[in-house]
Amino acid sequence: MRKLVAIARTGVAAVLLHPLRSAATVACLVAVLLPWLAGAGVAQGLLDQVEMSIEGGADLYVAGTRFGRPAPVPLDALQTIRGIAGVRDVFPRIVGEIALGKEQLSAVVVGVPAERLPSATEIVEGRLFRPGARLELVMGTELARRLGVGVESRLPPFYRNPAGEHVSTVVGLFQADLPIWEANLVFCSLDSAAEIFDQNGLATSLLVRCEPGYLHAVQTTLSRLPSLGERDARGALKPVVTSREDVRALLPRNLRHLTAIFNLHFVLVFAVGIPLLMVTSGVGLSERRREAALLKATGWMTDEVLLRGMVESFVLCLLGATLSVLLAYAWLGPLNGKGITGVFLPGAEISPGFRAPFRLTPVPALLTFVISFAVVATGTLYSTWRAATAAPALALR
Amino acid sequence: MSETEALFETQGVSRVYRSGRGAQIEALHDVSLTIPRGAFVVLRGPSGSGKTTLLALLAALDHPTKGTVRFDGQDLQRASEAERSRIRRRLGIVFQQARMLRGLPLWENVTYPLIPQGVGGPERAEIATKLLEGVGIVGRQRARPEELSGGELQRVGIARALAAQPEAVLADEPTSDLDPESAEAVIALLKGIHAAGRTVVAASHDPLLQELATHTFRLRAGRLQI
Repeated sequence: MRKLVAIARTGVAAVLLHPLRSAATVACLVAVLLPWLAGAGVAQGLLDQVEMSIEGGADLYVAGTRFGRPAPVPLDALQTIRGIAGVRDVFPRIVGEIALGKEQLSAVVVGVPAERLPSATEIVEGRLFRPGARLELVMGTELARRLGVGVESRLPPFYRNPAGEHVSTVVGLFQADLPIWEANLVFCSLDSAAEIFDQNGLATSLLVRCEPGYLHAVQTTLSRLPSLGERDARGALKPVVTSREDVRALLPRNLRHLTAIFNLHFVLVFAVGIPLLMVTSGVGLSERRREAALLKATGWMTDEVLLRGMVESFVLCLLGATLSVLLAYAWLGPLNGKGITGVFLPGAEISPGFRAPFRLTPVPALLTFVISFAVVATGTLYSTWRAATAAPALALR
Repeated sequence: MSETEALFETQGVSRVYRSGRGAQIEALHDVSLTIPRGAFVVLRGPSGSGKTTLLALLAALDHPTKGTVRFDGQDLQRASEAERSRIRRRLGIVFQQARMLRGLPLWENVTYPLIPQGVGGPERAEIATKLLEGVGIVGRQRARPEELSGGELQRVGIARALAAQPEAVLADEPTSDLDPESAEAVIALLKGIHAAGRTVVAASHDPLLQELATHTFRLRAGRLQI
């Protein structure tokens, strides 16, 4: 044991003995692992945000379809749904896309009763829109910055309906950092949203909260409704009921797809990087060869030389992996995921204007270490093994 | 210890190197010799005559293409790699160029062969101090090889060869790159090693070293000259 510890120590010392070789190997490891680690951190952060949004939402989302396509839901369906046993609460919501400003920035209008705004929405300036007030808008700080508007700013007409064109007023700004999905949102009353989209008496969906234990029963009853609201001249409006679990399964799908593509790209990078790292690990191959031969000539056994090389690899990969994790924290924290967030969040700028979410979990960090060790050990041990199994006299030439 | 007891023995040893272009170079041809325990052997011959090759075969650093090399009765050809390593632990090798691990202090370099034998750091430092003092390097245990002259390095090389208390010391041209003063110091050290009862095998042209020889073997074009 004492002998093994002594040999292991020489492996640690070998890292310092060849600073250039060690630095080149660690630099290669960081170059390959850091983007992957940062990407994994952003992806996890976004998934957390999705989860947070889903948790803060309703138990059931009721929409309508005609010809299998989404159709607005009449507000008189609210009464029908309220009458279903187990329904605690139901409210309408209008969600629609608009373009704002000279640059036609894409934004999403959400019309909801003021008391139904997501709990994570924190008004940082101004106030909320008044119940029933028309054309009072509350938008995210980042969207306001990009539009160059503030509280009390008036927005020139950006929609048209039979009642004419109207000027809207920004009455409040909310913090758009969390969750980032709200970064481009514009909140307003249901009436304002109905006017903006010229859809009075309609909503895009109804959000239902159920009493504990009634979720499945309510979902079944809603799904079996012959029509949402009164059947009109166009016929029935078929209900589409989506539960929180359905949303949980569907919403991150795009993100997971992007994550899979990202990981695939990194598999390719690894495929290119591994030979590169092996070459780097073998930097000073002749030096390593002479060193191994010298050790053999002075009585070291092949397995002792290999153990020394393995410990050297272990230390190098520990350094590489640790440095990668620390730099990933710096990249995602102080540098706010510059350049990497956009990979997972289409539309995000290179330097995101919002607090980019991230979470570094132990699994990628551990994987980083394992991959580092596999790669470096392969590179180092192969060259050491070749040197150690050759006749020392030949290797010393 | 018997003067006639063979420590090294070669029988019909040949060593052929293959060049990259497929050409064959016969460095040694049919060399048979016996080196008794406790002898001071000088291998003589011009450059390229096969002295270094023969020394490498005796030190279990290389394999002969043909023939047998024995150390203390053990056939090196039949020995496993681990056994060959164990044999090398019984030998001290002094290279033509001292071949140190750059960046490591002298005391570490000198006692590096003791690490796999489980000798601890403090003990190694103590051994190194004694060995370095023995070769005239005093108070410089922590110096790096890069800071030493060629003559000093060669003496450190001898100290390293003695670290594991070997039965024999094999030295390849130990004085060839040294100034006369340094060469004399190295020769005196080898003389001391022999006087201590160890077998010394040196490949050298140095006439001063020749004076110490109990046995001399001359090589020419890979053949032993009687």
